[in-house]
Amino acid sequence: MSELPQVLVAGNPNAGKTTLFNQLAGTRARTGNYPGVTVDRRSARIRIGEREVELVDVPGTYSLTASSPEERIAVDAVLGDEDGTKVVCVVADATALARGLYLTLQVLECGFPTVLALNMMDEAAAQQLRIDADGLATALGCPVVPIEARNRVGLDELQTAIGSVLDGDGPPEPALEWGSAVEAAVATVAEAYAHVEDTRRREAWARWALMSHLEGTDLELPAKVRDACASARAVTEEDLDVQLVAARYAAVDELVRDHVEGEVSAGSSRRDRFDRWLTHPVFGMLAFALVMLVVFEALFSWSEPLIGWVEEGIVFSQEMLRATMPEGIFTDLLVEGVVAGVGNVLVFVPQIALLFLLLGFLEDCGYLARVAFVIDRLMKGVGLHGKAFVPLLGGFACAVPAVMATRTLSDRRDRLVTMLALPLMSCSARLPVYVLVVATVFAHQGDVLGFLSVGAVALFAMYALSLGGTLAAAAVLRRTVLKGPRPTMVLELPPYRMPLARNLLVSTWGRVKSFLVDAGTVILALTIVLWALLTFPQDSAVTERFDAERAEVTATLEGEEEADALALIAQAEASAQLERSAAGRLGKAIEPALEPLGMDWRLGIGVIGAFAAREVFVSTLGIVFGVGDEVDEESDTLREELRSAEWPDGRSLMTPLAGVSLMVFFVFACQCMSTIAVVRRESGSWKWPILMFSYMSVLAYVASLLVFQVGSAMGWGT
Amino acid sequence: MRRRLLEMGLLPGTELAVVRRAPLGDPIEVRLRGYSLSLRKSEASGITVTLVAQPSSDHAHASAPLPAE
Repeated sequence: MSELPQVLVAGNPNAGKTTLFNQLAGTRARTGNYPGVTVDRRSARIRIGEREVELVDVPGTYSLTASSPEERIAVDAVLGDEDGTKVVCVVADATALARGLYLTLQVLECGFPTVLALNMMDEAAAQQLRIDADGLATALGCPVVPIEARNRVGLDELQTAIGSVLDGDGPPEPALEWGSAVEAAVATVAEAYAHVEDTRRREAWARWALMSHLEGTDLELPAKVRDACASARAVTEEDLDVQLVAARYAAVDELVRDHVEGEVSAGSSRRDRFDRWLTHPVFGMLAFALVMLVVFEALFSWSEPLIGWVEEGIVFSQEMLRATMPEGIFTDLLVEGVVAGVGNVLVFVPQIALLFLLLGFLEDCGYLARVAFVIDRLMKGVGLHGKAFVPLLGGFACAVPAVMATRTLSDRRDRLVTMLALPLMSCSARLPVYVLVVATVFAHQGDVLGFLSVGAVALFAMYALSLGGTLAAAAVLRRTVLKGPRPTMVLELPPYRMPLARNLLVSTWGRVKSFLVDAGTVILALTIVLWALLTFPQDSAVTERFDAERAEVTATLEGEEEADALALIAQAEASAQLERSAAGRLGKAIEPALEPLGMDWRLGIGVIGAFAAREVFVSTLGIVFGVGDEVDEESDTLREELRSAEWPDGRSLMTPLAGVSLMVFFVFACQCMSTIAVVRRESGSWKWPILMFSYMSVLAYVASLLVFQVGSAMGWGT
Repeated sequence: MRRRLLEMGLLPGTELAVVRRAPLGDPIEVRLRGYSLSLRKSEASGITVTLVAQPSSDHAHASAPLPAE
């Protein structure tokens, strides 16, 4: 740990903790990770008076009781007895002071130097709330500073207060009347914390353990502690939970009664006006649909020109490199491996940035909680949280930003279920595959019901299948590998507030950066590996044969004819080399496994290539079928080649049935290394992406097998 | 669940108001101690309340929150 004194910024969610942190940290904030879990640990070195300190943004929490690993971080940060100086700055929302005071009391119980920052004093004043900060300070025994973090009011005073307690002895222990049952239980459990020297902190740990010891959670309490909790609970009939909490709230109520004037629970009329419309049975649903439409539109349309620029930039640099570097394998590596890999990473940035700007806006203005409120009824049926709606919706555009967006879910299980199911949503990269297949096999089919083309019906069926698959997968995951307590909707509905542009930009940049650094490196590495698989080994006999052809063409033809002939030769050579590459051999090796799905080795290579990104399926097929890698899904030549492709025994390869089977495979298959990289980043281990890849691959194989075999047996579309 | 509700200030004797229902009927919004909480009906069903004011203002006393989990 750092030697600098730590100043922990703790507080309830929505109390303005992050705003305060950003204001104090300025541009010095660094984002790291708490070990083991993927919760951002933001910190900054700042000066307080003469001293340099490390300011740490602790995850938002309502109490120092943990029922999830994420909350445990806040507990560890505050309670943990590392060496060195530590000050806790509790940020409380002055308009909902009681809850903030509850957390403050818990912090005071631990005995570290503490400062209470009363945030949003302007809103409190607007609600006719008058808070006697000096009186509170005397009663609590720690400095209490009124601030308005977003307006930078009171920050100097706050820093002075932090400086003044930096080397102090800490506040007096709050005088709480626990009752004899709680005190006996705490004494029992405290024995399990004998290694904690400080008596006060030992008892604080004991109270924490008593409340956190709960069956069915992921928390790993030492067996000794667990046993102590169980035996402490066994000897009493009293309800320890209620008594522990009630003792603190009794003190809180007294503080509020003595030092706050005004009606606390009124709520503002602005809020009521907004909520009346935004949660109205008709207008509320309309508003919801409208907001989601904007999110959707942003991911699909607004991001398009930005993605276009990224792609143009990549193509431009590839051409520059080709033009300036000598031909050869090193240039190929640089152009097709490294630069393409960087492109594969950067191409996600526009969607990630847009999604997080929008999501941050919705969250900070308070609407995201209403999204959960409005849609929860539909989501809970499959075991998903209401807040999972936005990430799932994002999955229609691209799984990568959508997986990152699951961070708005605070419960780890909710988050993993959403993260592992949403790659089944048909993302925009699957569309080129569908379009190519539909155009190839259904182009000359008649209409359904006289006005719908068969292709449109097939396309719609794929999207319906993907949505059904996603919800079913979530329901199954929730009942199997991620079984646990049912997700709750105990969720604060915060007041509506205008988001601060600065907070949005800081958090969006943080997300983009962590994607570039952590997921980006994996994507880059996988791109290079994939390029190597599709390139090596090269067969020198093939090279010689095509070199001979080239020599002949140069000798006999001239001008445009020569160029055309050379281009044809280059395409044929690329196809022949690909067939002999590792990926080509792999495609042939797995052909027996693919044949029951209606795919031959050529489609197999396409599937392998599609691991880079699904749309690469199209250009890989272009190479395999010798029509060049410049093709897209609208290419007539590729369609013609596919239509005339045959099995060695003369059967047609791309029958309508084989086409449907191929599309079904792409609906379910996890053919996307970037999704895998980002799930690894967001879940914190390789375990979850491996599970995801496995279940999706099995699902894809079985579904495609069923389609092709049942279809063949029934004689459909052959 | 139960501990979470307790720690968010929903204790025996706490005054609360049911403010509204979600458009699809569930969950509900409850106001207490100066802030709002969303609760599924199934989660709220373990909370016993007694009416302390007319339904127009919807104030009620909570008593012993006892959800199963």
